[in-house]
Amino acid sequence: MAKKIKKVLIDANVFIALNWPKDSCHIQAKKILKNIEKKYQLLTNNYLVAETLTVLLLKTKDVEKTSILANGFYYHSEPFKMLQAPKSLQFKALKIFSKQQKPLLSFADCTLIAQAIDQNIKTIFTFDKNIKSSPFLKRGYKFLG
Amino acid sequence: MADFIRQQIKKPLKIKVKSIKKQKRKKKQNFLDYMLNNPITGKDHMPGLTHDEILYGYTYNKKGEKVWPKKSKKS
Repeated sequence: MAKKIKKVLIDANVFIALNWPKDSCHIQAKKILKNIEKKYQLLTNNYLVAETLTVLLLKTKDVEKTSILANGFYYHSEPFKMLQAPKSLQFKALKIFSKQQKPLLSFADCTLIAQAIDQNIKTIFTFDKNIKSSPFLKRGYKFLG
Repeated sequence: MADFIRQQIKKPLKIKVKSIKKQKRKKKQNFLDYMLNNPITGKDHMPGLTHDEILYGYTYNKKGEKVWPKKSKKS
């Protein structure tokens, strides 16, 4: 199989939309992921997965299904590669978190931005307008969603 | 002698065929396929709330002002 060179960073709201059919972005998330799955290496990090699982658990109150998802993230390295954010990345996220002018980004959002900068990932799949318009991601970033 | 040689060739072949068959039976589960085909259905216990409102209780508007979720009337 050909190695996927292109990388895309996936935000928590995409995972939430994908797993929650009542989400307004559910169909869009499904469609885009089906399109990019074979072309891109799909990346995320543990903060974003934590956010996904918490929101889904609170919304659905379905421990069983949310646990299956959690296990999927931890035990299947394909197709989503979940980065366990190292301290260096956490500090970069902290810097972004502290430097933001308006209180728009959560710490998990900041880890996404830090990961994109750190690993030179130029494509980000998110539905979050605050990330898309973030001044920390100015040059050459492409947003899906 | 010929039979012996035939057997020796067959043995590793048989083992290989068996292992390939086993591999085929054990089809790798794709997590994305699972996600796409098994979304969580059921009641929304936090209707009308954004993810930020669920996680932190409030959200921020474009101006950076705190926005609290509208209270829903209890029936």
